[in-house]
Amino acid sequence: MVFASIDQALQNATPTLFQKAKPREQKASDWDDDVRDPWDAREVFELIREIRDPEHPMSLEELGVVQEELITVNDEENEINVTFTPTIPHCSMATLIGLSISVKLIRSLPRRFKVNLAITPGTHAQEHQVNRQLKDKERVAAALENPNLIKVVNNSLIKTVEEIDLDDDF
Amino acid sequence: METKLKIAQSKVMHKDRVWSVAWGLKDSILASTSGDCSLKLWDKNLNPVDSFAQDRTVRRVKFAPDGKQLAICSFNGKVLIYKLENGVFEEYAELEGHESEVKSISWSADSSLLATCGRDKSVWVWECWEDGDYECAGVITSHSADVKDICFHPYDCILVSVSYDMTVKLFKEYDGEWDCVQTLTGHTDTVWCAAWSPDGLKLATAGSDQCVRIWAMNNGKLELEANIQGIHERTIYSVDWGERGIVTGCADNKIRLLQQSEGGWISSDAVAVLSDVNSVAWSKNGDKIAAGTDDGDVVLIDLV
Repeated sequence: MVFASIDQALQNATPTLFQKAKPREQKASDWDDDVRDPWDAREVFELIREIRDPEHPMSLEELGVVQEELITVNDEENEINVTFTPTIPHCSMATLIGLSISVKLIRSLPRRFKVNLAITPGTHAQEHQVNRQLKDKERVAAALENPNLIKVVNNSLIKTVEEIDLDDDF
Repeated sequence: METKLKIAQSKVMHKDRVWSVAWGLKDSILASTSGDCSLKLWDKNLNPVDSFAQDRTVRRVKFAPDGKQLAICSFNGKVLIYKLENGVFEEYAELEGHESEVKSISWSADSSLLATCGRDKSVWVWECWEDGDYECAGVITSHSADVKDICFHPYDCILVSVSYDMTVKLFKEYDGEWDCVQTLTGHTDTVWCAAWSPDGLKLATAGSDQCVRIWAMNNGKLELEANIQGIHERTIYSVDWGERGIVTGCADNKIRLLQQSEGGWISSDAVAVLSDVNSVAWSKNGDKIAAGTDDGDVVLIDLV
């Protein structure tokens, strides 16, 4: 009975899990201060892969919601395209997941970038409606002033203590 | 001679995105509102005059045509009126009624009516009595989604509203009642802004479909006259129509001037800034344009 009620509470109780990406390959030029390192898809992916799903303890990467292949960066034109894939086509959390990705990118990226965030075509029943909401910066700005909503968003963006590597180089 | 736009001055005025700019009487004062939750007043050289704090984003500011009042609306659901007393603007009244974010405001030509609109899909018309009282004269619930902007006609008792539902609506007043007399479709995405031509014969609307539509008044109804495409590459957040043409502000970081010629509408070379342009406003005498951007900048543009 307990399991049944959990099944009912979760929209997708048994999501397919995806392999985590290997650490980024480093090139000699990464360490050369005279070489300009343009933003690339991997760098944007690093920003959003650990965002947590509102329903599961897993990351958006593990759930296959965000993938490096679904990101394109045009550094010169200051444009970034990100699509995300809800785990099921009727996921009611799609807007919230999109908002979390949007907030993370707004907070992390240089302001020169225009970010086009949308649902991966054909993967959600309300794709068009959700995309319009995420694109409306006035609605996004108002959502970020809603204390309840921003709390949920911040929770999905926080890494747990164990996940923070205190030996990170600064 | 083709008119060109040139940035005269650009200053960081706010700690967050500037949502709106407006000129006061005789262009001696400029107002800006922002995501930093403030209304700020500047002189014509962008020197600070005054600043007022709110608890949420202040979405828009509009001076009454009489120059003695200004109104702001906020994401906190409130509309505030400031009155000029002994040379300074002071908070005077608070109009409550909207359930959530108030997105735009417009004064009627004689400053006796104020219209507000917002996320709750409604448009409110307020009467401004001479004794200083404000009273709700009507609530119009005609749109099926957020009402993004509203605009009183320059002299007639006509109001237009534009919405997330992609429509433009025309309202007329009969015996104190505001009725929707026309719903205009054609925009293929959210309509963000509207502006009447100074002579009141035409209306410009624009939005996320990156087009500016020109509608002409004909026997009390609006008819599509032109659909100006290809001038911008992202959402057009703001239009203002002055004696010298239509100015547009867009999320492609550009400001353009559209002018009507014999062969149709032509666009000036764009003025480029570094972020989304959320608001553009002609000065009252039409010799300059103010703009507000996502970087928190207020930009003054000259015509050369």
